[in-house]
Amino acid sequence: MLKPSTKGLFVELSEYSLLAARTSRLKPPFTIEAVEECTLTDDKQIDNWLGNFMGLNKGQFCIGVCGVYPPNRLIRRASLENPARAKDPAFLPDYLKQQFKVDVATHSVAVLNAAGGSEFNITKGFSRELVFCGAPTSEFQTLQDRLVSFGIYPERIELSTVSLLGGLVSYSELKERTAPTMVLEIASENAQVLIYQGNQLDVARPIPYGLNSMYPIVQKELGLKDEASARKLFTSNTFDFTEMGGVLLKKLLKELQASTGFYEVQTGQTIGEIFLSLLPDNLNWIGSTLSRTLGVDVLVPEYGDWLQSHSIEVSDSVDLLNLGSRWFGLFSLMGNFNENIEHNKKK
Amino acid sequence: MAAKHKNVSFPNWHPNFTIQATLPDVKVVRTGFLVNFVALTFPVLLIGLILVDWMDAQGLQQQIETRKQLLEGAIVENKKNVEKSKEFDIAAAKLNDVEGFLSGNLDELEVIVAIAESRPKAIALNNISYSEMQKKVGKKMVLAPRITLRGVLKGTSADEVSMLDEYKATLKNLPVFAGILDDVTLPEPTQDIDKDLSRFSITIDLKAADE
Repeated sequence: MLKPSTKGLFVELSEYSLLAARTSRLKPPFTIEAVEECTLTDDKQIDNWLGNFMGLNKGQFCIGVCGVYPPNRLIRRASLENPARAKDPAFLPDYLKQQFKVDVATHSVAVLNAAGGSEFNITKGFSRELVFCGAPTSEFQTLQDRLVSFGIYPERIELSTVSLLGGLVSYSELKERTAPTMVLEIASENAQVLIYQGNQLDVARPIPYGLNSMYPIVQKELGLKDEASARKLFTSNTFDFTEMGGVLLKKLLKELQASTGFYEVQTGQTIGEIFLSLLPDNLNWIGSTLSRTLGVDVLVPEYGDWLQSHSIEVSDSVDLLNLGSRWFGLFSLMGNFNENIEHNKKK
Repeated sequence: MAAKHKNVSFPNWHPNFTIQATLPDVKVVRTGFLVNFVALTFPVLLIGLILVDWMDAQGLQQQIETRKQLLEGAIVENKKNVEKSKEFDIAAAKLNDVEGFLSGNLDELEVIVAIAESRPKAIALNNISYSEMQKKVGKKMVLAPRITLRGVLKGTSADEVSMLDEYKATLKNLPVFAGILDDVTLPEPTQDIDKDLSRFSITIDLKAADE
C-alpha cells in the first residue's frame, strides 16, 4: 500500500552505497529536507532504514525517483551518416546490433539526441548525433525488484550516468564553463568515459578496466597474501594510496590519454575539467592523481545556486558543503533539464 | 526498445526504464484481483448465456416436435372431416331436393295419385322423378319444377303408340296441374319389338313459383 504522503524520495543505488534525499514534493519547486547515505550490507536493514527516513509503516511504499547503475549498462554515442534511414523502424535495432552488439529483444534502450539530451523522435526533428543508453532488461528488473523490496515504488528508474550528464551540462551552462569536460565513472569491472562540451555529448566510451584491475597491483606492491586482503585494504580508508596512484591507474590513464588526445586532435579543444562520479569518499585520491597526471582541474560542484536554478531549496539541516561530487548523481535526478538555462539564471 | 516501458516520452537526459508490468499493486484498495474477476466473469456469463440459449433451443425443438405430431393428427382428423363434409354435402343436396319438392306448390301425393289413376292399363310407369330446371322468364333465370315419367307401353303398333298421345293429353288436363302446367312433352318412344313394348318418357314442366 502507498503511504498517503506528498513527500518526495530520490534514491541513487550504486554498487557502493545508497544515497537518498527526502523532499517536500516529488516535482520542483520543492525543498530538500534531508539527505542520507546507507551502506549496502544488508537489504533488510535498508528496508528498516528507509522506513525511518520516510516515516513508513511496515508494508507501506513511498513513491520515489531512482537512479541506478546496471552492471552491463550501455552509453554510446553515434553519428548517423544518413539520418533519413532512421525513419525505417528496423534501422535503429539493426544499427545497435551491428555497432554495439546489443539486441533490443533482451535490452531496454533509449535513444537521445546528443545535443540537449532530448528524446530521439523522428517526427519531431533530430540531430544526426545520437546517444544510445540502456542495459539488459533483466538487470533493470533485478534492480527494480530490489528497490521495491526496500519499500520504494519507483515512479522513474533512470540510468544515473545519463541524468548526471544532464546535471553536469546544466551546471556548466549555469557556470558559463565553455571548455570540454571529461566525466569518468569508475565501477568494479569497468569504467566509462564521457566528454561533453556545452549541451552536447561528444564522446562516450567504455574502458574495460575498473577497480578490480587494481587489486592485483595493490597485492603485489604491498606484498599482501591475496587479492581479498588487497580489496579490503583498498576500501577500508586506512591506507593512503596517493603515492601509488600512478601505478594503480596506469592502464586507466593510458586509455584516458588516448581518449583525450584523440578528442583534442579532432576538435582542437582542450579538456578543461575532469569530473569523477560514483566513487566513495575514500577513493578521492584517484581524482587528484588523474588531475595531476592529465593536467586538468577536478570539477568540484557547488550545489547551492545550481539547485536554486532548478527551483530546489535546501533545508538548513542539510549541509551541502560536506556533500562531495558523488552526490551530484542524486541531485541530477531532481532537475528538469528541458528548461532554458537563461530562464533558470533569471530565477 | 523503450516501448517496453510505460513512459516512452521523457524529459531531457531523463529516460525512464521502469518496468511498469512488474510493479506491485500498491493501491489503498487493491484492485488487481478485479482483473482476474472480470476475466473470469465474462467467460462464465458467456457460457451461462450460451447454456440458456441452448436450453431454450432444446425447449423450442421439443415444442416443434409436439406441434408436428399434433399437426399430423389434425391432418388425419381433417381428412375425415372433409370426407364427412362431402358426404354431408351430397346428403344435403338430396335433402334440398326433397325439401324443394315438398315446399313447392304441389301436393306430391295428390300429383302421384292423379298420374297413376289417369294411366291407361296398357301403360306401366317405372319411375316418377322430380327435379328443377333452370328457365328464363323475362330477364330472370328461375327454377321451375319438372316431373319426369318413365315407363313402358304394351304394344308397338301405331294404334297402340297413339295411346301415349292420349295419355299425354290426359296429363295436360289433370285438375292437379290446373294453372301451374307449362308444357307436357313426349319424345318418340323406343320400341322393343321382341318384347312388344314401347319405352317412353314424358316430361311435365310446371311453372316456377314466382312465374
